[in-house]
This record gives sequence, structure tokens and C-alpha cells, in this order.
Amino acid sequence: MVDLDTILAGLSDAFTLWNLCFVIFGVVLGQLVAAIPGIGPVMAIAIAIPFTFGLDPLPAIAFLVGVCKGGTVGGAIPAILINTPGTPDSAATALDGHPLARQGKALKATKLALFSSVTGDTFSDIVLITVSAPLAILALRMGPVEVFALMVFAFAVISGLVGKSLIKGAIAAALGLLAAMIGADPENASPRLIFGHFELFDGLPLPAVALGMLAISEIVTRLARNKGISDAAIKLSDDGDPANQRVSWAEYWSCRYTMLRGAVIGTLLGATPGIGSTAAAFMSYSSTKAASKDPDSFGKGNIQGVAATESANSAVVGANLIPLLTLGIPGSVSAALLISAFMIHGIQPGPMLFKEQGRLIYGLFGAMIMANFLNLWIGQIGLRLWIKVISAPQSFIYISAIMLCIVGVSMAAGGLFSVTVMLLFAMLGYIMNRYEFSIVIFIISFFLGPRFEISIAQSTSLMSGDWTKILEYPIAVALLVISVLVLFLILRRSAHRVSQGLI
Amino acid sequence: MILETDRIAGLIIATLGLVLLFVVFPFAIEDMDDGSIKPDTLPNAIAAFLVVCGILLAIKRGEQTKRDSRELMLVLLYFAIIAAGLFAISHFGFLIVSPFLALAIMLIFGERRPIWLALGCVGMPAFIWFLVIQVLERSLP
Repeated sequence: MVDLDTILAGLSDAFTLWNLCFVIFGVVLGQLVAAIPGIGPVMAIAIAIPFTFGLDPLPAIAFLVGVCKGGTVGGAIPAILINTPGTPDSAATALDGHPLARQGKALKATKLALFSSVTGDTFSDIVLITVSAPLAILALRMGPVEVFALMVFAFAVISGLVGKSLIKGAIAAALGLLAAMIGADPENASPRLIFGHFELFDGLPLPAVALGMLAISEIVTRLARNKGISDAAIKLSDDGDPANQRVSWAEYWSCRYTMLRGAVIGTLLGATPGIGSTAAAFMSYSSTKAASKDPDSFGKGNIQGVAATESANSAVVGANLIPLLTLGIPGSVSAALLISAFMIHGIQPGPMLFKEQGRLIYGLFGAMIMANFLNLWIGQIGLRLWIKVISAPQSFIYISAIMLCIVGVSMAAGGLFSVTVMLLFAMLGYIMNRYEFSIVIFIISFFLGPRFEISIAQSTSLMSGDWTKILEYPIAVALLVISVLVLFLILRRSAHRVSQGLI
Repeated sequence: MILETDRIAGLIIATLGLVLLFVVFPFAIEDMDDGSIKPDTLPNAIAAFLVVCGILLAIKRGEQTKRDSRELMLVLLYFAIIAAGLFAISHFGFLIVSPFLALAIMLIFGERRPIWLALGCVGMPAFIWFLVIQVLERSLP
């Protein structure tokens, strides 16, 4: 366990003016970027990572976490005001948020979204801070065989739960693993699939792959789908009634059970790799509606609907860091990008992190606590300002993002070769999106690929090449059995939906 | 016979797997006997898995993806412009090429207002120059 001195030292590192400035900047950027449909905090994190090179690890990671947290708040703004979610997880917020806006209660809805977001986020941060250290101790007892089984479990869950098709999910995972094979073989350091390009000896650069698939591919798609309109107009209107411009304490308190339910759902789903905030938001919404005495009011401007979705999708952010910090397994694309940021600063996420970098981790926890307060404060004062700023035309926003991607990848990954890789993966990302293969699975698999291969090699060595000896590792066997069960349940669910004509 | 999109995708994936297994990997991966597993073990397994999944995708009942050739042509055009821009950047540098790249994309997108064109073509590159060169003290491509 981490000793008290380390915890206090970490927290004191976090609560400095320097770190505070970076967290503020991160939260501001996250809220702003998430409020622009088509950009989103994931893209912002990917673009921002290269620009954090010159910083110390704590302010760099605190800034990126601030972007994540700000993003959970900002995505609700366009969802409520123009029924266009800024982020996928805000799609559920639009169900009741936009009807509220049409009733002249836009500010009430956006403020409730803000309060619910912060509440859910704080809950999951408390869980993260409480369970991650003990979980890391447990994880340290896992050997290569258990790690291998855990990765198989992660791939099974991710492939099956993201997207409509298990087969497409499996293909996306396989393609991601294949991309990870490019570069030096981890055991022998012999070059693989580099085709004479020694820039690829260290493998494909993650910033290039991530930015290409997440940012450039999405931007180009949106550019191509434009119908000749170059505006992104978001208007805030209200009927002048002060009660519609704020959230009273009574209204907030009336949503307490809803927010708690959403926070629990978000935390549980966020701690499981691959499920993500969108599923958490919709699950929380459906369970709140089912538990409501007036379910018919949902979808027509019920504040409980907004509270349910926002508390859940924000709770995922903190919980995503549980598998990241304890096992080194990203629970989402944002977490995978955060891992790359850790590694850029010379830190290897995983169970050893608490032993070797305990002070940094508790510094990060301190920064997360700060970010929650700042999210609330900046959200309150920045709401009307974001709406003005994000009224800039899409043409300007998209070309700015493209230029930032080119420069960012060039800085992060060593030159224009990496930018070319980014462009190639952008094309791949477009094709995958068009034919409904999940990019999220691809990126997570790409990131886990080298570790997966090392775990296979180490397990093979440990078992002297006889894989039947895996039966001597009960935890690994249990994880593999659970993986098979998960796949079976997913297949059964899929077959049921096919028979019902739902797909 | 109109083939469903998933069927075509499945066949392509299966073919890709076979090409990787029998053509690419023998050429592009060295054969080494040291170590617990060979360098081509996992790549071969992935390629075989792709073949199986591709066949399964091809034979299962799938969906027809809506085809929008206008969108596809525009996507190709934007990618071509960005690729041309990268080629030009490699010869002339980011600061010289980026205004033209921005102008091309914004005009094709439909932007005509001088103020936003100026901000995109001049303002944003200037901001990036300031951020990268002055603040971060790094170099631009």
C-alpha cells in the first residue's frame, strides 16, 4: 500500500498554482471542444498530447484529465440547444434536454446537466481513489498467464459490446492487433512488416494512428457531408422567466436518487473496458424511466432524464482510470490516449505504478478533485460564452483541427512520415466507419497488441510450451471461462435480436 | 445479383487474411527460432482469424450500407488535397503551404466570407507558429 507521506506529498504537488492553471486550461478546452459537434474531447486529447511534451508529467496529465472532465460537461450544450450531441454520450441527454430547451428552459437544462455531470464525476473519482490502490496490489499478484487471460477477457468484452455485430467487432480487434505487429518483434527485436521503412522499427506511432482514425477521418467525413452550409449556429433563447434560467436546490435534490443511480451505473460500466459512456448514459436513462412514477413524461422535458444521463456519462471518466492505473488496460479510447501520454513522459501504467510512482498518482487524484470543482465553476460562468464561441463556422473549426493534427503528429512522432501514416489511417478509419467496423475496438486492440504478445510469449515460456498446463492457473482459467460466457451471451442476444427483426 | 455490403466486406477481409498468410508474412517477417514464440506466430494467427471472420461475415445475413457516391468523391478529394499539401509541406515548409491548404479546403467546403477565410488561412497558421515556435520552442514541419 502507498504510505501516508506519499499520499500527502502527491496531493500537495497537485494543489499548486501551476497545476491549477493547467487544470483550468484543460477544463476550459474540454468544455469548449465538446460543445462543438464533430470535434469532441477525444479528438482534443489526441491533438493536445504532443503539445504537452515540454511539461512535467503531473501538469501534463492533469491538463489532459481536465480536458476529459470538461468534455463530459460541454457535450450536453449542443445536445440540449440544437438536438445535436457534441459527443456520442450526450445523445441520451438530448432526449429530454432538447424538449426542455424548446419550452424556454434551456438554461435550466444546461445547468442541471452541469450539476449532474459534476456529481457523477465526483462519485466515480471517490471510488477510483478508494479502490485503485488495493486493486493494484491484487493485480501485482497476477503473472503473465493471468495477464494473458485478462487480455482475452478484455478483447472478448470489447469486441462484443461495442457496436452491433460481434463478427465486425472481432475483425476490428484483429485489424488493430495486426497493426500492432508492425515494428520490432518484442522477443527477438527482428523487424516485422516494416517494408524497408526504418521509421517503423518502433512500430506505428500511436498519436498518428489515433489522430488519423479519430480526428482526420471524422473531419473529412463531416466536410464531405456538408450541404453547402458553412455555419454552426447555436442560439440560446429563453422566455425571461427567472425560474427557467436556474436550477433550484429543490429541483437538484429531487434528482438525488437518479444521479446516484446514474453514478453507480457509470462507475461500474466505466471500470469495465470497452463499454463506455454512451452505453452508461442510455442504461441510466432507461432504468430511471422504468423506475419513475411517470414514465410517459420522459422524452418530453423531464429533468430526471437529463440528470440520469449526465451523471452516468460523467461517472465513466473517473472509473475508466481504474483499469488504466491498476492493470494498464485502457477502458476507452480516451484512456488509451492517456496511457500514451503517460508513456511519453516515461511512465508505464499498470500495477507497479502505485509502487514506483505513488506520489504522481496521488498528485493526479488531487488534480482530478480540483478539476471537478473547476468544472462546476467554469461551467457556471462559461456557459453563455461557449455558445458565442462555438458559433464559429464549421469551415474554420475543421481546418484549424486539420492543421493542429498535422503539426501535433509531426512534433509527437518525428516528422512528416508520421503525418503520412496519420493520413493513411484516416482513410482506413473512414472505410471502417462507413462499413460499421468499430474504430474504438481497433485503437484499444492496437494499443494492447504488444503487451498481449509479450504475455503469450512469457506464458509459453512459463508453461514450457505446453498450454494444457494453463489448468494449473485457476484465475486464468476463470477469466477464460468468463470470456467464453460473455461471448456466448452476446451471440445469444444477437440471435434474439435477429429473430425479432431488430437487426 | 447485388451483393450485400457485408458480404463484400467479408470476402475482402478473408482475401486479405489469405494474402497476408501466404504472400506478405513470408516475405516481410524474418524466420527466427530463438524465443518462446516465433516472430510470425501471432501475425499468422491473426491472419487466420481474419480469414475465418471474413468468411463468417460473408455468409451471415448482413446489411446493405447506403451508398453515397457524392460523399465518397468528396472524401477522396479532401484526402487528395491533404496529401498534396503534405507533399508540398515536405518541400516548402508548413508556414508557406498551410495558407493555401486551408484556402483550398475552406473554398471547397463552401466558405466565402473574407473574414473567416482570412482567419483560417492566415490567423490559424500564425497562431500555430506562435504556439509551436515561441511558446513551446519546437520546430514546424
